Amino acid sequence: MQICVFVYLRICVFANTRSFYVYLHRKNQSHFLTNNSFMISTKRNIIPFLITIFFVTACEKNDLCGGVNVDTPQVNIALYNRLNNEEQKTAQMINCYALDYIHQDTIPVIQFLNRASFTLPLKVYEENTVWYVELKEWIGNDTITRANLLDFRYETSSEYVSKACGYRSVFQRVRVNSVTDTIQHLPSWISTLDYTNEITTNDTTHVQIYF
Amino acid sequence: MFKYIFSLLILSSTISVYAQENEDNPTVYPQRYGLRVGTDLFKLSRNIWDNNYTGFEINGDYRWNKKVYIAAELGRDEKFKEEDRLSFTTKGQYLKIGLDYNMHNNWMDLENMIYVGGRYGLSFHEQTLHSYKIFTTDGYFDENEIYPNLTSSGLHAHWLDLVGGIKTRLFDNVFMGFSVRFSLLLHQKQPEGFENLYIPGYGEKFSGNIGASFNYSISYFIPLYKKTPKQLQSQPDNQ
Repeated sequence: MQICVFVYLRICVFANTRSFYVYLHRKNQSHFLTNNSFMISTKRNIIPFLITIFFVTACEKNDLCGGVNVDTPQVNIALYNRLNNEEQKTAQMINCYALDYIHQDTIPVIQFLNRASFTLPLKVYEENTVWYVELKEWIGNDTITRANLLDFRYETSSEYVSKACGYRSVFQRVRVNSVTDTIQHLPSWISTLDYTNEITTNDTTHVQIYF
Repeated sequence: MFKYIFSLLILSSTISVYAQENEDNPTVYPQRYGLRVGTDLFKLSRNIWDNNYTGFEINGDYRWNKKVYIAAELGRDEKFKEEDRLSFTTKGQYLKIGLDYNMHNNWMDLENMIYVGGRYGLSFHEQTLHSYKIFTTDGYFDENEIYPNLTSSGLHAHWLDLVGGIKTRLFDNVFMGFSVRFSLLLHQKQPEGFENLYIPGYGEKFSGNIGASFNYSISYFIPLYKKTPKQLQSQPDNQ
């Protein structure tokens, strides 16, 4: 929190003031004339001020958005060995894109290299996101490309975070389905998957893929 | 730029203050007591230069004794604000009530004030959330704006103010003043799924409980009675 209000208050104390004596003279004439020492005696004790309020500058808001779980969570996906469910397995290359972009000239592809986990965002303004997830492996001289569609269905709700961050979305009643590739008709790579019903935090795993 | 920083050169007033020291001249100046009623010029002018604000404030004080004034402000604010990620309107009424203590010894019959004071403030307001964007960090999907236009009414806030300011008589019974205040928010009822980001009378609500504001007031003094002080206030003579 920062508030800045700068008040420039200039106080000038001055001691002469000719006008003051004129004022005195008018107000208190008889005394002024009879007492010779008056001018001297008052001079020291006169404290006339001039107070000038110069200007006020106020600058608004300096709150910054920061912290943990202030943004909409993404789906954290961990990869496991289908033969040994406890063992994490590294994928050589994973290419993902959302089906929304399939008819565009350039499809934005998210690529992960040598990863045992990866992260995909969900659409917050709709309740369904389908990702095309392609796995590329190089075994010997062969390149094996397999693909699946990950179909996410969910309900969203907005959560207020702060003035600077605004609102974030959380996902409830999440259902994840692995569908065979109907785009390029590549063979499936995902054996099975597990998922959580809620996606509300960024720092937990939401989907386990066994392959 | 204007949205963030505004500089004002509104008031440049002089107060001439004199100290009386003369024992030979036991002139006693009767003190005027009465009610001062005025308005906040800053809020009034803001109706013209700020398209997102309408409102006014009526303020007044009643002289209780030589030094102490009972002071109150009553007003109405309606403020639209557009933040980076959301926009909202707050509107409502407020009342502030408290005391001002004049620390300044006036010379002769001058009626200037350099004062400190305290207020208890309360507001009754409602807040409408017009639009917001959902905060995502992926950057993969387009960001849309949502327009819920959701009004939360029955909100209130309570706070304490520490006031410091000056008041000076311009002519006849017309006074002008400037004050700065720091506010400490004690309690508030927040809208559900949102936050009080602006509170009438308190101003902008930051993440902490401290606020600050200022005011330029012009007021008219209605004299009710006069009281002659028993003893003349005098400064020690250093001669």
